[in-house]
Amino acid sequence: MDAAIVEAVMTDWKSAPVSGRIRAALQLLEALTVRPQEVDRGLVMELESAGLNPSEIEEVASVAFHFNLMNRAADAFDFAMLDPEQSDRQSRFLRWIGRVLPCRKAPRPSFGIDDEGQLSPAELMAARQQLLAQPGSTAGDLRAAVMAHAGSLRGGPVSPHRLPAELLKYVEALALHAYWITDAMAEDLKAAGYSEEAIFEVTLVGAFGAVAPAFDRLYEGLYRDAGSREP
Amino acid sequence: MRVDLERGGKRGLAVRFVMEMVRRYVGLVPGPLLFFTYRLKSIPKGIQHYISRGVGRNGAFIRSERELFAAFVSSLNTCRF
Repeated sequence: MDAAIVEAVMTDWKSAPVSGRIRAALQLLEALTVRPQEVDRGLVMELESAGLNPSEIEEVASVAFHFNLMNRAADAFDFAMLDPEQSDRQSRFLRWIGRVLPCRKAPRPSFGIDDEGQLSPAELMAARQQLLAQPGSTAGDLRAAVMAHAGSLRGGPVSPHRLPAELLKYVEALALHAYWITDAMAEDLKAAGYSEEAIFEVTLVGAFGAVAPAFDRLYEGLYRDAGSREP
Repeated sequence: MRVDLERGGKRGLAVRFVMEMVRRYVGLVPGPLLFFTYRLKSIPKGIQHYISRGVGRNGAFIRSERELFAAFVSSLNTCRF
């Protein structure tokens, strides 16, 4: 894509010279990333009016989920930056992976409804259950508290759990501005008795908890009133 | 070091072999690969499956459009990655 168009999108996507369909995708990405509380049926109707069908909305949402999760992991764990040659090699490697792996078709229906009536992307509903139930270095109750607290900061329901005080700063940074996470925060957690594996789990569950509510809201808007319509 | 994603975790022989191939080709093991393999069994398949909906050649958007979307999200998150 033309570098000038990319620059224009980064500067002000609303005025960037892109098609209406791409602009609608950018609108969705911005809402899922920055204003998860505003993701609702009204937004879905706007996107559909702009030319995105439910299947395309789900595809854009998948990219948003991927990078919202990965950005938090990158900031939390301070991923090494690649130099231009390494970045080029990585891109070639990922392109090869992309050719080998077909775009995964969504299960039908592409959403699930849990015991509490929450409608979510089918895969994320299963992921949420696994993250809370699987054995690990942290207790399931702690993971539930981390996930719920992170989610409550980004459009999810108010958390019924109490988060241990030593995790508050870390989980809030992870949810709202992960680039604020510092070495000192990780050291504080280690001093409080958290192993590296426990910090990994807290980060994974917290990042998931922060990101997932926006996608629940999106799928509510896509499918709650639409019965089981197929994308 | 916050969490030693490269030397810590639990990885089987096959994963370590793939990591070594990537290290030789790219020059280092990129963060996402370290993250997703740190404790592979702890990463729900559902996360990988949902992400893979937006990857590959059969989607509605071409690769450069998806790369634009990814860069846009990273920019919104003030993340250099």
